[in-house]
Amino acid sequence: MNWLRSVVAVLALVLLAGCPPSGVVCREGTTPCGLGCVDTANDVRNCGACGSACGASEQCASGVCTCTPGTTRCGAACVVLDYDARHCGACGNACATGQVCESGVCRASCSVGSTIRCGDSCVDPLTDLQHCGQCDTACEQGQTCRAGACVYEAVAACYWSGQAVGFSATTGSRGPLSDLGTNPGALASYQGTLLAADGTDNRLYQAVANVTGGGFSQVARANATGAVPNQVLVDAPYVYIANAASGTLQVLKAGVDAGDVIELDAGVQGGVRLGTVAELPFGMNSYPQGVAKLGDSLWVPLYGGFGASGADAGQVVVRVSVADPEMPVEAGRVSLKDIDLKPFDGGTPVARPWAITTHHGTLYVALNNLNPDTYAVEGPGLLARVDADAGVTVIDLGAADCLNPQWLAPVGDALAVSCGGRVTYSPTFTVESVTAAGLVLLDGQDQKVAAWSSACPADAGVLADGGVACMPMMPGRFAVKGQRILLGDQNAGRIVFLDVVDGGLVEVKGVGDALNLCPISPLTGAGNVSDVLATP
Amino acid sequence: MARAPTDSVALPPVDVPLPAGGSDPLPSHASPTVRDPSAAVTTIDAAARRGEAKDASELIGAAPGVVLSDAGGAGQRKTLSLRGAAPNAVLVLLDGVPLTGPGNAMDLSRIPTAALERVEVLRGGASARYGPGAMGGVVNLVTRAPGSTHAFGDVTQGSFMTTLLTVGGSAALPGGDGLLLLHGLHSNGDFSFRYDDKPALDGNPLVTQVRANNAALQGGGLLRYRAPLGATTADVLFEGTAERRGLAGTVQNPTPSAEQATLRGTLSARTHTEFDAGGSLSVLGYGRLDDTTLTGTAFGAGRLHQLESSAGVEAVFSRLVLQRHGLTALATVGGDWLREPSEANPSQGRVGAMLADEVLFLDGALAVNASARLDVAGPFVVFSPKAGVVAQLPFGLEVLANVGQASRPPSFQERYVVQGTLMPNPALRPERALSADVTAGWRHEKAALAVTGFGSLYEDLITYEYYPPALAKPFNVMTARAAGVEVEGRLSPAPWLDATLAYTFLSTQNLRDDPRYFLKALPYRPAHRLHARVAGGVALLRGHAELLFQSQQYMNRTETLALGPRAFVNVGVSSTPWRRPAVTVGLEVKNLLDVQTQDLDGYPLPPRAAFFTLALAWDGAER
Repeated sequence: MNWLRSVVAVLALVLLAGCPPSGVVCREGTTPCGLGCVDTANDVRNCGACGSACGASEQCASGVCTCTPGTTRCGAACVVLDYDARHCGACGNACATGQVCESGVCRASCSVGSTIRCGDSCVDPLTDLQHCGQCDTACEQGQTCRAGACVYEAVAACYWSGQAVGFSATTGSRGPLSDLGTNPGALASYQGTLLAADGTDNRLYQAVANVTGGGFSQVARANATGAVPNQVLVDAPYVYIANAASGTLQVLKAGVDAGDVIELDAGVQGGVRLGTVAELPFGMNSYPQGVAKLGDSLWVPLYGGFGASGADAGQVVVRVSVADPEMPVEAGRVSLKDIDLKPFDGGTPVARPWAITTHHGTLYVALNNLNPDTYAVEGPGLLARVDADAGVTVIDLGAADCLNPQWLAPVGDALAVSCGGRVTYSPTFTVESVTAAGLVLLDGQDQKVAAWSSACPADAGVLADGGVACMPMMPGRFAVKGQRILLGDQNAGRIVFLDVVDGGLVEVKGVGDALNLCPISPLTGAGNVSDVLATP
Repeated sequence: MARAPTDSVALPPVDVPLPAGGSDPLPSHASPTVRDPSAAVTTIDAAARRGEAKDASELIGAAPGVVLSDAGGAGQRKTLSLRGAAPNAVLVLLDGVPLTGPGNAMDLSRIPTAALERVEVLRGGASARYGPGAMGGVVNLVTRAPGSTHAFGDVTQGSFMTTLLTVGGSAALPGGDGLLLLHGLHSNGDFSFRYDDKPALDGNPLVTQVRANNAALQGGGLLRYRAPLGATTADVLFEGTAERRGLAGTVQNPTPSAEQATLRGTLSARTHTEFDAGGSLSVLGYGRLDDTTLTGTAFGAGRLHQLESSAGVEAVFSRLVLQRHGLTALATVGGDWLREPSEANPSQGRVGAMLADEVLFLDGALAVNASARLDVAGPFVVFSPKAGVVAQLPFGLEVLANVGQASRPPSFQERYVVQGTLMPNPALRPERALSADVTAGWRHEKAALAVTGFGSLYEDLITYEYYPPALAKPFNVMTARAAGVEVEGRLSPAPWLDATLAYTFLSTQNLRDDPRYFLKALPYRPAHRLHARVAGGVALLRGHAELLFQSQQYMNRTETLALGPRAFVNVGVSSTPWRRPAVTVGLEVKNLLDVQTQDLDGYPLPPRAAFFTLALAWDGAER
């Protein structure tokens, strides 16, 4: 039976080749625990392994339980020396029975006006992480107790992995990764509800803080948006979205049922009920990328489409009257086509207006200054100061410090601008270097007064396996918390902390010791912080 | 049921092309152009549909298992997916010669119906016989053959200033016969369409626009010469097209100045020798050039020029041994080259060998075949085994079954060429598929029916993923399955009436991913597709009507964006009032119900359109 042997041999070869692996896998940075996926590197309930919980006043950092900031290890416990009656002021320094511990001193009763007695401790319920708002109400890892409520001071969106991460802008403590949509690209906050515009699903998702497990829980309803929503602006009760690929400004209103509302299969109740009440098209190839409000007008930069002719539909900033937000009306356009883009290397760039903000009562627009066909950097990073009456003033950020500006926002009297830089790729098309990237600071007269480079530290070194110890940073969007800038990295998922001090920039957490928030994909070798939000 | 005696066992079919067969809805192991005797094959007669189908895609749409993607308009890009495999995982051949570089998708709008005699659609993984690239199947476009002395010409004029022209003839030539055919197409492509300029808002009226920069100008030819040389027949073929077309872009993001200019062609020569001692040898040598220039697009400095070429030689020897073994051995050697602006200019050599055996039992009523092919293409070594069986049963019943492994190598573009915001990845591996199918068929003089169940497991599927800062890069990401049912039927109750049906149910699922994508359908794979056609009449008046239905299809991997279902109805009438010379006039109405829809991600499809055709044919033999 030669034929039978032949067939069996072929089938055996097929089978030996093997069936492909299959099954659900967890998103980057998370591992299977029970029926779900958990961030075991940052989850105090599953720290390092499923079900391995940290103790009180402990946090989970890189899968290891450590004392939370502000606590001290005394034996096996992490305690607050300021008010722990068993370790009052120092480990082992127990207060006498009936005494309380306040400010590290044993006393008969709580004496400071803002403190309350919780057991034998005098705590400030407005700020204390273990007794926030009331006794024995502990905040989750990464949260801050503000006015008696646990909140994340800031949130980062992880585009690639579809996650959000809350963190403390003060201590750098971070919460666990939480699933949020597919590819969240832009964040906003509406009265405590996190809004996330998703660039793949074309939806506005919502999330609320998970009070029982830390992180965020996605709300079980979402709103349809136009294609590739790129920025969300909240001006309660209205929410404005710049939809890049469909070229529209979308207006949603809280408390109404309108537009395409999607009930999701999974998620929690809550959030804010939003309905789409208006949409204003800017025309084909317009690619609106941002939105800022000044008076009763919205200002929207139009990036323009692919190629020279597509780009020609953009390179303007559109003024939209929202005197009646539910009937937005285009009220004029300011052209950026005739400004001097200061091209170098014989380039023929177009402005490519990208991000917009208001500052000192006027508008500032970040100009990418790129070749219209290749998106190659062909001019220095520029800002356009747009005044409806006085026209456009161009601010040169300096090619040495800033190429391809990505985001801008006021920091007090100053204006900060992040610079994505120029990316070069290796012969195998991996990111090799990023130059002229970082952040520049302009003073109240629009003069550049400081520049911070996001280049890796010179002593970053090389790993044992030949890889680089420091991945190049691609600065992107940032948030401002007081005088602190929380700058996101589009390449390695990090957040850098910079403080504006005396008109200069002080590095609090630089590239070398940045806060790692968004996981690096083992597939692409990249992690993307697509947006950073400082909660109000 | 009559069965062939053992000593008259037919050898496995080995070569292309051979004389035309009629349109046959049954997967036929006797199909002369397909080397796989047990594969599910649909043969579509091009000659009968020249007046109604402009290009190869419109013919292929009549086969089950097929999903066509259409950029909209005559002369605009059209590709096909087979059994859930992507367009670049379907091998498209012209008389056995690959029409694209390794791992690339074929634009079927480039091959006019006028140049074809028939189309064979082989469904299911076929790398064991045809080599890498045939993960979803193989489409073999069989060109018109020379024959008796005759001449023909036709002109079609219709909507959107569309004109098609074909002239040609065949004649006896010294030592053989030859065919020359010239064809041309022009279309403004400026059809109107409706779209939603406020997609997030409910209830707003749609806006009417006219498609701009959608024109196409195409010209080409086919030259073929055949000659008998003793026991050997020789066949030389040149086929080529030159075209220029506007690249309209998507509705919201049009590219008004983007154009594509292409000059492409294939030259092949083949011999087929029958040996007195038994056995046959087919040798095919071919070369292919595809020169493409893109201007005014986002492909770098406003201009991208790319020259793709391939050449190869393939030899197939077949012989009956031990009275029941039909052995086939194939050896092939060739190379592929690409010249492109970044001057990576990749190239690769390739060699392959295939050994197949078909064994017949029960006087030929049962045939079992097994084949294995090893290909080395550049850095990739691909092994493709397969086994199949054909059982002829009483009452015209037939059962075919196959199981095998197939693959698709990553294309040069995916590995080496920067294309706008798309980065290449030199580390890509070939995609792989394990496929199986079973067909039950019934054939009658006036009717036929075939039902096929199929399933494929795809591994290492290549998808473009986000890459910083705002790019995309391909990676071997996905494992997926595709399974479904194909139904083909034909009913010819009278010589003047013919009805066909092709239905496909397709279910695809992403089998290994995180919950965003896990078990979600692959994009652009509609679950249901139906092609039904009725044609009838006599020479003085003929008519036909066809329905093409396609259910909703998702546009992304998360099933959050979808294209709605669509149904097109096409009708036509024709008449041949004179026979010497034959004069035929025809009227074709496409999209009779004026359905407004789009394909891919924002490419509107034409509304109702009408085309008038005048065809002349002169047969020298009749004189």
